[in-house]
Amino acid sequence: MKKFLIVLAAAVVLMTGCAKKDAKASGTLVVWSFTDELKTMIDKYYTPSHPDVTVEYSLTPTDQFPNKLDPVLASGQGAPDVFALEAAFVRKYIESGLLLDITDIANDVKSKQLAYPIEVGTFNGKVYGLSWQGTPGAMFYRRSLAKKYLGSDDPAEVQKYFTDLNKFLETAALLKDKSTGKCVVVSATGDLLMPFKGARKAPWVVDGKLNIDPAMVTYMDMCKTLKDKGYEGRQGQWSEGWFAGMKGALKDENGKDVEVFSYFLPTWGLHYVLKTNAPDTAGDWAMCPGPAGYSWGGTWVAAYKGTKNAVAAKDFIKYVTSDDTFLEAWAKDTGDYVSNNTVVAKIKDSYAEPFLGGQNHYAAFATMAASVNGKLIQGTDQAIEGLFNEAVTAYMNGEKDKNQAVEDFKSQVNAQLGL
Amino acid sequence: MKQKTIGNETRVNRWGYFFVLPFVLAFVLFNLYPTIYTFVIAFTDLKGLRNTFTFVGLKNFAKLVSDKYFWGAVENTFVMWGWNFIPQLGIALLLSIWLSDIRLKLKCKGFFRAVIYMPNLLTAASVAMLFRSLFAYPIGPVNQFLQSLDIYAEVERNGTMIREAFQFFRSVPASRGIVAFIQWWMWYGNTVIMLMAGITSISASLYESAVVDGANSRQTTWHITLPMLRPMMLYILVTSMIGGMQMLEVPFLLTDMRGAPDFKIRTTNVYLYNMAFQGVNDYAYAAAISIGVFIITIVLALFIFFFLQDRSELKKKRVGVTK
Repeated sequence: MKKFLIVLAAAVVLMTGCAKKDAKASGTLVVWSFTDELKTMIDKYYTPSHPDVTVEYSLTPTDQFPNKLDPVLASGQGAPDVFALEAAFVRKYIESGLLLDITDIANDVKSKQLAYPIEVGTFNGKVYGLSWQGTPGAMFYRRSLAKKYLGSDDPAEVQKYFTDLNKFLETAALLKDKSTGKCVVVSATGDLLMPFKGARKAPWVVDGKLNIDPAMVTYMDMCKTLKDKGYEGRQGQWSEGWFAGMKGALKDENGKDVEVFSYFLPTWGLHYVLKTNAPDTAGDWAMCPGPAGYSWGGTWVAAYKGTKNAVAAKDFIKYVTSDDTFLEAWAKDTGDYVSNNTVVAKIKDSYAEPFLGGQNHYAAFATMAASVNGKLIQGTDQAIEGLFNEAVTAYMNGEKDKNQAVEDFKSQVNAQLGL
Repeated sequence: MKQKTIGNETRVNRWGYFFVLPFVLAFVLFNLYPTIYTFVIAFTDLKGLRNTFTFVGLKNFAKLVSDKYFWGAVENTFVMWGWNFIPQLGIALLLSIWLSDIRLKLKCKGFFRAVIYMPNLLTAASVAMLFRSLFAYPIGPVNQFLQSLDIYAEVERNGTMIREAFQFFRSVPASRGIVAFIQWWMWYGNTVIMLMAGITSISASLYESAVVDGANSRQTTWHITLPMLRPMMLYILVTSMIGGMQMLEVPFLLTDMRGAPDFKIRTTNVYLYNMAFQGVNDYAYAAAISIGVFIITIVLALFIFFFLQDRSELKKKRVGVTK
């Protein structure tokens, strides 16, 4: 036992000694996250390959995460070294000036990484956050319904019915007609927000002023049309009925069956929303790009600028967001769409997702990821969209006319965000 | 010998400070300091992810006074509090009079009191979520119940009238009504307990002499119980108003956390939360809102005391002094 201890001590001394020579990552890293994905990455991959670094991990639910992070970042007391940031609030921190500049590691890996996650992590020419994933979105539809009403369940054929927004409306009408009112194209109008956001030319805030992109006005009109004509299922996103639609078990208030043709979901939506909530309809799904390319969600990793262990923090971020070996293993484990193009190119042709009836989702996402514009995401998006959502709902339900709804929206944004 | 005892006494007295120390520390740290800090930052430009600020004078208050959404939130708060308070006091009065009436000889009084108080033990957040799913659209328990009675909402869609489920949370009166109902349901038990305490403290001899004089139940209630309960009702009114001004969880969680429909259930505290913890984190303005609410509450509380206080006693005393 004593001998063993001496050997161990010697080994530790040796290893730490070596580590210092190579400026290798060592010491302790405090990591905060709202997603347990990071925990798996640390336990299964990072710690085994980086035995010198002790990671102290803590998990906080997404909705409380910013409230926990804000005070410690502002004061610098008890701040974590590295933390995960969700798409909804990542820009708030990227724009805050409180994050560690990681432009050097971003430049190292830029050539092999997907472009848009780096764009999201960039502010004033400097990179503050990187992501291990790309989250392009697709239109997931039920094969059986496509066959019944559109004559084919082949993704290329179905896509022809949804090439643009006009075609989308035409097909919505067609689905309703052919099914005698049973089949709705989406269960919730909110499903279309993300594709429409992806279709914008400019973000919400341009030169410190609120900018309502024409795509957002089109979205309001689209919601109204879908609702008025009964082309949608009148559910709220993430509601019980919304999930019931995935299972093919949605009924309206009169007990009549409602068939939901499609859901607009991104990469994670396939694995964590569709697969987990609709096991009964496995194999009856397929995906196509739909009327507009978009991205939804995603997790970025960033470090606090006052971290005492910048070397390890940078190394950690570089490893989890770009390391070839790790991301390949991660993609194979989870099916996650990774941000490393080298890995994507290597593995994309090896997939056949049984849930999608054998379709290769990875290759499909790879084509969709390239068209995403990372410059549309801003820190104030979540707050603005919360207020916009109220305007859309009021217009859609006929409580306000369009002008009134838009004016009220502008005035609320001005009062709450000063834009 | 005498001297020593006094010395002992002072030494023992000193222990009192040690006993209150934990409270004083906790109060200063978690109550006094945050309150002072709130007052301070209301005069600054503290915003977003910073902890440095500069003083900007009364700028935030100037904005507050002209902010129509703040006054809208004040109105929402008062409307919902009023809809909850009037039935609350009325029903609580009735129940407390029944429960404490000696002549009625109600059985299981303790049981009723416990049942009435029960909703108050639930967390406001979980009650809000419960009602959110009860009144869900298009399928929810309340809608299903109404449909079983053949009650539907008539909606115009694409030129034709359609019968469909009620969208409760898109109707301003319904949403406000639900908030007021939840507040009522959660707090009327508390009011019953307070009023019963008030009733039991009324001297029994008053009732006895009234009965001897031939008063019936209605007369004793009207001429003894209610007037004697006046100070208690005043207390309930003021505390309920203070509580009502701080209404947050229920309207916050019931709809979209921003006071939908049309921001008409956005109370001052929901507005404050939206300002401070969502969007651009305008802590300074949020602090100004909380001070605005504080001032409104104080003014109203003083107003209530001034006008509703029973001044007949005061007058009597004054007469006595001059004599």
